[in-house]
Amino acid sequence: MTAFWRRRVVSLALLLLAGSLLYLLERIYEISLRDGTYLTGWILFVMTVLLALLNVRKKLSMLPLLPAAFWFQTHVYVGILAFGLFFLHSNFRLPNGPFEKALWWASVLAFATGILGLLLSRVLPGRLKRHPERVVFERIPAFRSELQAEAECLALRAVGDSDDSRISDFYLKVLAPFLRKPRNLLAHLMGSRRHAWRLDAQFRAVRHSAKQDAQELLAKLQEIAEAKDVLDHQYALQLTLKAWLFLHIPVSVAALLLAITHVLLAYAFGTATP
Amino acid sequence: MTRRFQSFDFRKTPYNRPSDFWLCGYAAEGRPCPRGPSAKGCCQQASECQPRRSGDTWACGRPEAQGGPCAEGPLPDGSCCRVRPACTPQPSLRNLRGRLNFWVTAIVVSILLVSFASTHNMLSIPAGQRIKGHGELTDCGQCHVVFDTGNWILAAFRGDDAAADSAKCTACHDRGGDPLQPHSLPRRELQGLTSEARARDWQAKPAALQSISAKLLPLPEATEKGIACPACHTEHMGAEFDVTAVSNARCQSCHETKFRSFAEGHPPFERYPYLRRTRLVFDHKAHFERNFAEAEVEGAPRVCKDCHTPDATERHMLVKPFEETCAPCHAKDIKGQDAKDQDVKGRDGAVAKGIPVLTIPGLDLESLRRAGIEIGQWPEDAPRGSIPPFMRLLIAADDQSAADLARIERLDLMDLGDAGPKELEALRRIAWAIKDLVYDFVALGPDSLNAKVAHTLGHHLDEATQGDMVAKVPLDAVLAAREAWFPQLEAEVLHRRLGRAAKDLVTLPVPEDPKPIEAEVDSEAWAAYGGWFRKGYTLYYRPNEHRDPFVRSWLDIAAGSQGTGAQHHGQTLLTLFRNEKVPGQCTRCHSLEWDSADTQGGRLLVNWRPFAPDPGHSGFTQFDHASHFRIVGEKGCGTCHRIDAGADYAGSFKGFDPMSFQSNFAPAKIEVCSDCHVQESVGGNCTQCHRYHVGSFPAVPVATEISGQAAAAPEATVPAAPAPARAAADGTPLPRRKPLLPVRIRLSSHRTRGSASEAMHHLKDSFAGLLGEKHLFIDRQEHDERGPFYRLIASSFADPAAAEAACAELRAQHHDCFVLSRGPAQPPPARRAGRSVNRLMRLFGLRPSQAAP
Repeated sequence: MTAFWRRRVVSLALLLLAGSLLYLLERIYEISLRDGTYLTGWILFVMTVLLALLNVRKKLSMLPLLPAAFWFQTHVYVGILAFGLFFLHSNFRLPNGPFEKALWWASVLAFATGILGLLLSRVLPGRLKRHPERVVFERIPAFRSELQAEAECLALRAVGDSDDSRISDFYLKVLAPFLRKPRNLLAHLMGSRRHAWRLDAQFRAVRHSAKQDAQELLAKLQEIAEAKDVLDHQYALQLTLKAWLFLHIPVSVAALLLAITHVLLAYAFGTATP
Repeated sequence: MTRRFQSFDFRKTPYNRPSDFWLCGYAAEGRPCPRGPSAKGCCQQASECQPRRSGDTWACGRPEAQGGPCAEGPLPDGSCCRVRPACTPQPSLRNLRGRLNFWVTAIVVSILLVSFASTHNMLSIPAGQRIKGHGELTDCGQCHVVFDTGNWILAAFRGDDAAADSAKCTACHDRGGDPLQPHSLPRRELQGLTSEARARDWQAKPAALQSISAKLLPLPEATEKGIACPACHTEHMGAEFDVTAVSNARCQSCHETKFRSFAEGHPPFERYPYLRRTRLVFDHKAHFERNFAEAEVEGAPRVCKDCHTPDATERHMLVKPFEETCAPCHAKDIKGQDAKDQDVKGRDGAVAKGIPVLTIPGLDLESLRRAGIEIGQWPEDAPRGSIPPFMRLLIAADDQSAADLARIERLDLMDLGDAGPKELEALRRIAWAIKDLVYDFVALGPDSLNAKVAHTLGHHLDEATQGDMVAKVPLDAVLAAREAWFPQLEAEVLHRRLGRAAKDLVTLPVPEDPKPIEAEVDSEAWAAYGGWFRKGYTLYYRPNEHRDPFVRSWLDIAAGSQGTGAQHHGQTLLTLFRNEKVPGQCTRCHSLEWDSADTQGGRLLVNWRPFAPDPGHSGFTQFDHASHFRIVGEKGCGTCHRIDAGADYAGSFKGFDPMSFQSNFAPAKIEVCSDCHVQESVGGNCTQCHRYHVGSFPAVPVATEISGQAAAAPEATVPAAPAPARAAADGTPLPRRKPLLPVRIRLSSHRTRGSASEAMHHLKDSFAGLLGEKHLFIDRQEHDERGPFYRLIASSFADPAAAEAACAELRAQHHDCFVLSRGPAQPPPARRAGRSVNRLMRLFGLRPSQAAP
């Protein structure tokens, strides 16, 4: 068993142990004529704050507050534990009050987007590694711009070298729009190569009818198009890795705000023994 | 060949700052400026570099990543020669995410603030659907005290008084005088039960969690306030939610004996279901073995259901009426049909067909005359006899007479030669008491008897009992008896009451030939169907049916006389009717027991009826007979009810304590129940057989005053409106026992038009016009025989009178309307500008809260 899997097994075992202990604690608390939802509620609230600390840790990267990987692992496992505890707290049912429903859905969405992010962070990096180079996300526009300029230069040269307009037409109709901005993002995300095959077919068609001396130029253009496709692939996957936070963090913030209000309401109107 | 895009030479590659809020507008073109935008998103560089001064010259500062120093170099004034237009910085992903978070926070906080400060008292964010039974509660303050204070946020930190909210629960759900104490029982009673449980010393192995819970988390400190309702009942969980469901483990949390489940460790049934003596004395074993077995008695039961039947709820088994069960054998005993005089000889003067009520006992008149005891005229031919217990109870109302009766009890009234002076004097007083009794009965009527009985019992009898007590005895019968027994009674009594000696009365005319005291017909036979008859010097009563009112009233009086000076005579009467040879025989079957309602103690009551479930009473255990009928098999009732051959059932009725007894049946075996009552089968929850709230919680009907309704209601079918205030029968206003709900009325109308929605709003508008600014809530559309109609609820009336007046006005317009609930006057919600702001300020304690009603 590799160290990776050993760590996973140990972590999952600890997770199960913690979950079981929490469940038993809630049962014991409930048996003693106290309201177990107060106990699970407070544990859940503390967990939520702990989960939110990951974001704080990222902002305080200058401080030696344990490695970010540790924080991320803690975030993941505490999140999964909180997910189970949340359902125990809500009695495994959807509440029927509008406010409670809003809190319930916000929490579930936060958990669901968290799980989504976890899956993306486990799947997409592996797919990024299939290409020999992992491009810094912020540099992609610059590289795309370079490729576009290079291709435009080749296309102009093709116009000057011969009176055959097929290459320039191909550039204007197919390559220029392709190079101008990120393309086929969804296809890259889904792992589809159909767009690449289609582009390759278009190149073959042009090469088939082009003169011999234009073949080299077409080969260079195809190399540029393939490089652009790599950039699009990198862009699509890295953008997804960043964009899921646009779902996760806002719903988490909303859930946290609603949870604070929920605590106030529970203490103001709930009259069971905490 | 695979193209590689980037190199990581620190001099040639640009340094990216993904955490910056703004990105250079030229970054997308691959040539971002090295300084980048400012923190506020403004372009800071209009040229490609910032030339640096080197001695007297300027050197190009363009970084390697941008192509390195340019060939032209800086201008003489030190500015860059490659000027380019200012860019439009673009927000970074982090910036966009921050903006999104900001707006989400702002929107959520705004919604919460607006909702909590809404003019509709948080109705915009109700806590969740209530159970069906609480559907009428539309105002949070009806259940939550803190809601009326306005400062609920401060209350969250202050800690709320749970008992205050629970008081609102018990305002509607009556749970007795100690509603929040465990089991709604007084603490002393609960302590007694706990001591009993400890004394049983039943050892059982509790579930592991229960043991841990008991060790780690002791129960919340029991206070005088008790356990708040929400500890067990959770609201806002939906209309169909079972608020009464409680887990077995929670039930056991307080109990001395903890066990795993009903099948594993539940204490055995000690006496269940025979927790007290039966009210009717019926020896099942004796009847089964002797009477029913040997007898070819027509009408004798063959199966249990011949005598027992389920009640309306099918939970309890009742005893069928006398006429369907005991009458075939015992109806004749009541009338004494088969009895003969020799059988009843010496039974307090009783005869086979009648019970002596008034008797003139024969006296040794010669001895009395010799001793100078003056009793006036007394029948010389009166036979030997004793004073019947009825007469004794009446005479003993006077303390002196009670003592005299005791003194002469052992005397032979026909031979007073050995009687001492005090005994003779006591006999004299008794003789005159008998004469007074007869005289007053004739002269003053039955009221004279009522006064005596009331004096004995210490309280007045109700009119029905007064009537039953004399059983409509005809005046002629009493007059005839008086004429026959004491022809000069009126003159004698009046003479004596004027203070004159009886011997002075000799001048009064004495009939030469008094009327024969025996009628020509046999009066006993004449009273074959019951009633009064006179025989000799005794007036008899013959019971004519089961539930004979005369006998019943006198037995009640006799039972009630226990603990008074007349208890001995009452006891004699009760014993008389236990005799199997004397007509009546009521107390042979109807047991006597101490009256639990008598706080002083010592009084008895006659159990005239067998067990009848009290719908308002809630006991610790409950059992549904009907649901078990199908599963008892061939043994039938005997599955649970097994005759206990060794029990001294009859001996249980020698005393009057119903809890000290031996049942005809052995206690039920817990194994019979636990075969099925396991979680995997029909369930083994505590609440299947046990109730938590114990006591009598009768439903209190609505006090509805009828007067005035006829004028206000256009139709007879209009529901009557309740009176403005509860009042006693004498009109005295009764104090309100508990705080009541705000005043609301329910409106309903068949006068609809258009679609359901249009009709609803039309009605709401028209009602609002009639009622002014009251809160109107559309309830629902319903149907009856007259077609669809709509119901609305209007609340927040200032007082019941205002609500009733509004209802009367609506009824006059042919709408149905009645007051739903009444309560303390509450000011209507004020309409004023800036109300939400004020409420918001109150929430945070910045403004004094409204006074709680």
